Amino acid sequence: MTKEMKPRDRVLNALAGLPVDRTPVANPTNIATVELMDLVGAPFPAACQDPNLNAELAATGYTELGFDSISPYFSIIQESAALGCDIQWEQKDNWPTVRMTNPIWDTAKDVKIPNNFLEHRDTKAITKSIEILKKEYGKEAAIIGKTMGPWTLAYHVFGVEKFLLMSIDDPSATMDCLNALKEISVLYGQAQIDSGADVLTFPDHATGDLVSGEYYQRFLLEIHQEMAERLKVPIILHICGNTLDRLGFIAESKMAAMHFDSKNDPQKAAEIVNGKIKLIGNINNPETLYSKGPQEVREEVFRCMDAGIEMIAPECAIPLATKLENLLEIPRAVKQWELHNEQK
Amino acid sequence: MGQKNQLDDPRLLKGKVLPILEKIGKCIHLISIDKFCEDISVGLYEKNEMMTVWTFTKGEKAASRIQQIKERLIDLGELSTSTTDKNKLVFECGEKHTSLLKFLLRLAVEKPVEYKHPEYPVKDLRSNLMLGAISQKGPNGWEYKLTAQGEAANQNSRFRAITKGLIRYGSLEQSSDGSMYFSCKTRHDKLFQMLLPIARNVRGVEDELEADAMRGQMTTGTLGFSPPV
Repeated sequence: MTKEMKPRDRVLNALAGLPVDRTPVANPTNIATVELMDLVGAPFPAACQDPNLNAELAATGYTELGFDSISPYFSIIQESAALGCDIQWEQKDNWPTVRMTNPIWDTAKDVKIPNNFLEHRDTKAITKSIEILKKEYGKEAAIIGKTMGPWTLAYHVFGVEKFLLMSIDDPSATMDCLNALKEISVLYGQAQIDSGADVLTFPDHATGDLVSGEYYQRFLLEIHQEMAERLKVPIILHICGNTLDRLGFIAESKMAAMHFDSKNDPQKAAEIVNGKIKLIGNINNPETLYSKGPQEVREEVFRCMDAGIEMIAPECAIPLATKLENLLEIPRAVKQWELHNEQK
Repeated sequence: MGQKNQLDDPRLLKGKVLPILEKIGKCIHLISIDKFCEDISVGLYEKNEMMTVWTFTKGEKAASRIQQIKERLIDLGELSTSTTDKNKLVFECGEKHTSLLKFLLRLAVEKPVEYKHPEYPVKDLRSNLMLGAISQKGPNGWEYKLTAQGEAANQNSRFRAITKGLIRYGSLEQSSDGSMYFSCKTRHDKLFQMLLPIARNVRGVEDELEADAMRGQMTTGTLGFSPPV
């Protein structure tokens, strides 16, 4: 066993394929809950808009739950808010969303990044929060930023239905849109790196229930390879849903890791990627973390660890009313598994 | 608990959540927003058959609201203050009655403080029957029998459906003569009075529970990324 590592080193080593003292527990997406919001007085939506509140809430994943990383970008709408999308901010107990029925753009030619994009309240909330977190926890915990991929941005700015129809009717125009939007991903990702992010999550919702694996290869693989080259920190690709049909392509994306959904069997996922990309996940949110108890959480953690998943995490942003005892169980179960296997 | 502590990162012991949960136990039900008190979250926690009403929000307003909710639980659910810890609540029968606590907490938090359970008879939602219950001692301890005023062609099927609802939401058990009793076999008139209006509307309750569960979930559906229907 390697001597006990700092959580940050544990995460970065795991992403780089270097030795770790134990499997890290990470949160590429959100692990804030309504109770943690109350604990630090940082409720949604204010915690998505104010950097100080954001940092207070984000830090609880590390200080109160024992995760090895801190992720301050809770939602998926910060860039789209700065681009001018219509945002439904919701209340403390629900996610802010983009009203995609009111798209702001029609074609690639419309894609224009506002001059004050990085100065907008909702983009700056995250970059400034990363600065705060870096100062306070940067030597101990891995700071994970997040920049949305062009496919997700396309849903937000063009509307889901319109963009998907465009991908069928006019693949070339679709590629033009994605190529224009990817510059936003780079701009915001780089801003977070400059603020101190050690790692970036890259959600790009080419999800299993909307598009095929072939679509991923056709429209996104090269763009993702380009992102991995241009953004010079380890990148964690996040795609929800069943992604086994595209994992082979994703393994070629040059990204450091894939954050995957509980709809995918961890053993099968590990077999498909065959070590070409690290896997992070995939504890089920709605059934296990939200509805069940620590015993069931532990069983899922063990299943992932048995499959050799490199970093353990909830499959996606957790439900905001998740019970804290279930979240505390994740790092506890990882250590239990490691102890058990050490003794074998 | 010893092994658990060994598995927890030392930094968590300096935090607030873990030491609190060690004291109050596991969360039975959590309400994300209390509209009567600055949108605080309110949880009902259980450890060793004792319940704690808890919020992580600090301050006097939150503390006095938690006290008020405790009083509402005592009033609406016939819970009592524990003799060993005045901050905790117990059922005098000694059981947890976990399945119905969800509904009890909701009423205590989401209804105005003057709320009382509807008096019998209550109107059935799928017939013209006016529903009530009589309670008496029987072979299974304290037993409850559904009653109805008025006539309806579907009375038998309605009674069966309502009984199923009582079993589902209150974990009541049914004796051979159709009477129902709580697993502790003791008298819980107010709990039965709370459960009857819920049990007559299983479909509505299920829809409500599902909507509750979906709120705050990030899925392709809630994000609007699901296929157009």
